[in-house]
Amino acid sequence: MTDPTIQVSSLRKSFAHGSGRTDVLCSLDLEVDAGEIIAIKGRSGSGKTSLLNILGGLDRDFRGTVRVASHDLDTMVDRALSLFRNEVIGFVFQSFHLIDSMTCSENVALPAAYSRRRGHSITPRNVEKVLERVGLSGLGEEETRTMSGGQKQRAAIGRAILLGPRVLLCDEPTGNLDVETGAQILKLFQDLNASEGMTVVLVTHEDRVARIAGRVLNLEGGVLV
Amino acid sequence: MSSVILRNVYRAREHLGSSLFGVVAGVGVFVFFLALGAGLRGVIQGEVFPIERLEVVPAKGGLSSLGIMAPGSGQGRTIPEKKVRRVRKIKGVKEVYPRMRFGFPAKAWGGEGVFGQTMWTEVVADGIPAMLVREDLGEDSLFRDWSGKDSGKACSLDSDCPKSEYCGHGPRSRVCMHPVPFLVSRYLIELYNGTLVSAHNLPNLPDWALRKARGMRLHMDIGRSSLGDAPKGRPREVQIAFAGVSEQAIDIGITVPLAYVQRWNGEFVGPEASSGYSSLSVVVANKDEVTFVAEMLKRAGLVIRSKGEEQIGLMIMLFETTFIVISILILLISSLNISHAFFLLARDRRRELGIRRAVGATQADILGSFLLEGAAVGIVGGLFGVVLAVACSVLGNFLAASFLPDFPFKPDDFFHFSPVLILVSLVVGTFSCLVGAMFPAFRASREDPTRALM
Ligand SMILES: Nc1ncnc2c1ncn2[C@@H]1O[C@H](COP(=O)(O)OP(=O)(O)OP(=O)(O)O)[C@@H](O)[C@H]1O
Ligand SMILES: [Mg+2]
Repeated sequence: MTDPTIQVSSLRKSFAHGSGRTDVLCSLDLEVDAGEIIAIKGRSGSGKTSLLNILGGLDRDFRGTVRVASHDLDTMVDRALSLFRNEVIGFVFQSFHLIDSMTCSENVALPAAYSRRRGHSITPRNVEKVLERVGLSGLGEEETRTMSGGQKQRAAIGRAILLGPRVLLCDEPTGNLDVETGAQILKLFQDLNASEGMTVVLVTHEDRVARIAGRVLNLEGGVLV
Repeated sequence: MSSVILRNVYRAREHLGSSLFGVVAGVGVFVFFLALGAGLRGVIQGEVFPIERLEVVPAKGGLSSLGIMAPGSGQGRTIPEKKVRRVRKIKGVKEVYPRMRFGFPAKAWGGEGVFGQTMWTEVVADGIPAMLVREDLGEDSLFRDWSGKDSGKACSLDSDCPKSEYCGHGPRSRVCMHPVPFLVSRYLIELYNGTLVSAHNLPNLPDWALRKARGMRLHMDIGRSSLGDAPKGRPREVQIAFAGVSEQAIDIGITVPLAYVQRWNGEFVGPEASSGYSSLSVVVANKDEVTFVAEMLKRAGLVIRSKGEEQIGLMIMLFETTFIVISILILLISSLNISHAFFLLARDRRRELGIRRAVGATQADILGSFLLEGAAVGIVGGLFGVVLAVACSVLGNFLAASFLPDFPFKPDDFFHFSPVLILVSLVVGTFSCLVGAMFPAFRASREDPTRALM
């Protein structure tokens, strides 16, 4: 029996609000096995994005223990966390978050600029392969700001999977897309999960997204139910 | 990597444009005035007061710097031949020119052929061993002791004598003899060309005119002048002949072969005045050895005579310091400017920085990228500044050549842009940009990526 890829226990997260603090996550526990796809649902403002930021090593301001792919996030320093985000995690954001001044392939290749892995560097050929994988072949030179929503989301996924992460964290990946494009994106996640064995965490409030997940959890009152 | 940085700088040109201007101005002022200072220093140390040349006088009772010795005032202290030999042996000393001042009054006149009018002057003069300057002047130079080589023919007019001689006053009667050769300094020529020419409407003396003037004869009274007569001896008129311009000649005055001065000092002052030297010109082989040689000279009980180069050096330093301060102020202001520009940049790129952090950039990566951009602005601005300064120096030289009146040692090029100066200015410019970029870069690198991505 291997360790779960994601192991969270007694996670607390609160934000300072003027005088006091509001608790967003209260003593949250979560375990996700390697190769699982899970969906997290919840009302707007329930803390889904906050949870993903913590799991992805973007937010270090929390209490409790968070272990992702054998990394103890609560004890890591900035440098180690950055490396962790670079190598272990693929982020797909609610609003794409591509850099407009760069081309599609430059955006996809961005993580390679911060890779510290010696020996195997990312070549234009690798980038082209990833573009193919996410259905953007031939669009590498496209200006990011002229691309459609679906294309942007594909580019964002391409960037997330460039360095072969073990965990893909997706925040409302289909929220901004029409039904058909959304379905294609979901298909892509399923493929990635099946072929590469990536662990996928999907945050959503759409049932069709939840349908591809092996487990669906609800975030309510700061805990998962 | 560098292309990314330059592209970023280009992208941010609106923000960085005005700061770039500040760097250009700061570095420009810095290089321009330091190059000017270095240029002037070079002229002063290389030509006006060559630092490889030390003028040395005896420790006490030294001669006044103009050195006109009142008749009968005695010789003060002198430097004996023994000490000259000792100085010659100091390591780093290339040559020593022992000098002996005229200890008696003299005046000279003549020069119609060159000046267009009769010039008249009290004479300040000394003698140096003719042998020592023969190499510089050439074997056929007039500059030698002619006594013993005179024809000695009795005469009553110059025309009674061979062409190279004149009818002079012998011990008993008038006989044919060679004129006394004399040298003048480059300094004197520059002084004449730079100041006297325009003030007194005299002809300029460029190098070709000086070559032509070689052999020109003047009259000189020895043993008497308007200041009075020598205590003893037989005052009389001699002829002197221009033998050329030499670095070894006395700065202001004329220099004749030592043997004449020894004889005349003996005749007009006394035997004690014809031995020992009034000063030494010590030429050091290498600028770097000047300090050492100076120290050794002091230990030998000699005093190095300053000719005001310290004061001028100090003035140049003051001038340089003023402009260093001004350029540093400009760079400080541009540094603030850069700081402001980078704050705006960081604000504009907030989301982009968040994205970069999310895909693996460390705080150090973000800091480094901003600092590199700062350095790029500094180097680009610095290069423009240097180019601007060089352009201004060309213009400055042109204006000086066209509109400034001649003055002694007026150079064709007032500036000296050394590679070290250019390097230092680029470093200073870059440093000021880095200082400016530092704080905003630090702030940007500490930004919480989750907030940046909200
Ligand atoms: N940086 C912040 N400072 C203060 N409060 C914050 C901050 N980020 C989030 N919050 C608060 O924390 C709560 C959870 O926010 P979060 O973005 O995690 O919710 P969410 O479930 O992702 O919502 P949505 O479905 O709208 O994306 C909200 O009440 C929000 O106002
Ligand atoms: Mg959210």
